[in-house]
Amino acid sequence: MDSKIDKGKFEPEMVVLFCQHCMGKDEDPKAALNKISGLKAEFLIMPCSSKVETSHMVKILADGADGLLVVGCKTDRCRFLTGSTMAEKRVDYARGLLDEIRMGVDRLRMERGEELSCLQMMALVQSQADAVRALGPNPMKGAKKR
Amino acid sequence: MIIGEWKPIEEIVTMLDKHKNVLLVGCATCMAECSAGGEKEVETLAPLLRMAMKVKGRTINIYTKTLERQCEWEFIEELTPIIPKVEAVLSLACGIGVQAIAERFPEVRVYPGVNTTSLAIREEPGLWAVRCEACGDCMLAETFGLCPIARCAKGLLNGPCGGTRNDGKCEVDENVDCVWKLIVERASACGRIEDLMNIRKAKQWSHSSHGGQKRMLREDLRP
Amino acid sequence: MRLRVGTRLENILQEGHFAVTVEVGPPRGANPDVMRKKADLLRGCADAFNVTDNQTAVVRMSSLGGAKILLDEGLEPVMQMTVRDRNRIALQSDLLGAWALGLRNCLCISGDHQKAGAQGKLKGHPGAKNVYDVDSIQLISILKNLGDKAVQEGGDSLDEPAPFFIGAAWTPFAPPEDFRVIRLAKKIKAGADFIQTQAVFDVARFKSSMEKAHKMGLTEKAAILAGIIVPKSAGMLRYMNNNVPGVDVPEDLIKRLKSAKDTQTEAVKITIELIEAVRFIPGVKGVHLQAIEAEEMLPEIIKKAGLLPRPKIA
Ligand code: SF4
Ligand code: SF4
Repeated sequence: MDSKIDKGKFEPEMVVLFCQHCMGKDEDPKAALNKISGLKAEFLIMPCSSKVETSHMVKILADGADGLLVVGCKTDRCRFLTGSTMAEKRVDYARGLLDEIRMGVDRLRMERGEELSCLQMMALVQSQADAVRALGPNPMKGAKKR
Repeated sequence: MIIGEWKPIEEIVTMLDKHKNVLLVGCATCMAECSAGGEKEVETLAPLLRMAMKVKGRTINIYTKTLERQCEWEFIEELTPIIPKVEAVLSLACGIGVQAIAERFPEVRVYPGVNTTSLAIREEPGLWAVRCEACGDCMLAETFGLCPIARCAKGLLNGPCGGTRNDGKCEVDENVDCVWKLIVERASACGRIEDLMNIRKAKQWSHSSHGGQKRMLREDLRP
Repeated sequence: MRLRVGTRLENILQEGHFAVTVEVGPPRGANPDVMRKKADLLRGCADAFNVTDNQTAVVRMSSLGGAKILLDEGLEPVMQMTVRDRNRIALQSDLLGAWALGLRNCLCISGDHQKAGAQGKLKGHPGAKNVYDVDSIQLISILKNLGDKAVQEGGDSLDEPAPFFIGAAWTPFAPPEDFRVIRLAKKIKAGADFIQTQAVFDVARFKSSMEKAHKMGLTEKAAILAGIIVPKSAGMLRYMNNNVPGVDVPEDLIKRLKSAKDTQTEAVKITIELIEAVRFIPGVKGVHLQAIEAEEMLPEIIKKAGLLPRPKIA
């Protein structure tokens, strides 16, 4: 790891996995992103947050993302009833793994929302990015073979 | 099925310390069923190990492969093209699979990624519990289909010890039913409690691993 | 009636005296004086003295060694033997050795699982490999055959028989409760001569268990000694009620000890009342007293209960 990196200036690359139901119908997070300077995030939409597997989350981080945010529906609003609960359990499990290898648990987090506006979504990403910033860049940066 | 669970990552990382190219092999049978060594787990552990190594300032190249069954020679053959590229194999099979690979490919180091724990059933999603200990002299007929060897912490053959908790759980684990309580209940349900009056003699453990290495030979099946 | 073994305990029971046995825990160390001091303290207070076998799976001086020290001090020991740590080879060999050293009473029990030790203040050896080659009932059968037939479990014969006065434990209240008396019957059928029960606090409940045993004819076939633990504090009673399987302490008793001005005096009183209460339950042939880490309380209790001096035997 390069210790000379100024953590204040480091802008984490985020990946956001979100359930299609937790954002408002006409919201386009990618468009909104461009309006916020500095914030780097890739948005991946899922039919339900429960589709996220531990292996996906670990792989995204192993491929170099600095932080990963999973956004699911509120517990009682999940279209698949227990989908977002299952997602949360998997996120917790994966966080345990990150802890075990001392990668920093806060690189991965789950948030819940309902009919989120772009602005609200960006606030979630921003707050997760702040947590990740404290951890510094992912040592795996650039690992992904393209 | 056979069940097992991942070894602590730290232990795996230490085992692989000297290697640069490693093959991580899963098994799509028991270890997949118990979520310890199927394809999903292989594809989770591989990136996780890459990160774990990186955190320690090292890089490792991990090949992955999940075999149908790691305890059958014909499936193990599928590894032949990959073996020359690696110095070590990390197996997520039960101990049988690990040993089969070690036997087939003596030129590479083979490490277990899983602690094999028992012969069990999936009681509920995410919950497995022991059912058999392969004692070689099955007594389920006398215990109404519940095994006191595997499921009683003391392997008692003549009824419950004095330690059964008030709620019917075992003295050793508050989450596990005292199997003798269950046996008695099932015997009563069949109206056969008197069957449990017989004193069962000391067991002949010679049929189990206590009697030495087990082999099974069937001449009629041999080439 | 002919004596099977001829121990003092057997004599007392056979002559119809109300027997008293007490428990003596060996030290966590090798100093024989600890056992000798306990012997001095308790000499003459009981007919026989149980020496525990690595209770709660915490390593202590062996019951065989401890029992031999008591014997040398003129006390009659009951060597406890669990099946947790020794297979049938070691059990039988130790039995023969014990017999050769003059030990004649043996209590056969399953023993606390080695993980139990880890639950207390001490570390114990939760990582130990246990044995449980035979169970407590099978151990009773082994003793029976060593004595009656002079044969070992595997079928080989002994040069001469090694008869023991055989004891077993009974936990009448643990679930499955209906089966507990059947298990007692199995122990007696296997050869148990005397029975020491788990601690009794709920006398009424114990009485009804005894009635069941009596109806099955078990009280005729073996001598049942009611287990009584000296309640040192209300906290201890509460703990036992909640955590010790098969021990059921009535709430009133806990309250009574809690509100007592002098706990120790009240504890002595309660113990004496319990002794008197179980004494008149048909089939109860004696008491087995335990004062865990408070053995010094026993002489006073036994005296006040009117059980001293212990009868002489012919
Ligand atoms: S009795 Fe033996 S073979 Fe039968 S289930 Fe139990 S351990 Fe397995
Ligand atoms: S409580 Fe039941 S299952 Fe547990 S050791 Fe005792 S008899 Fe066996």
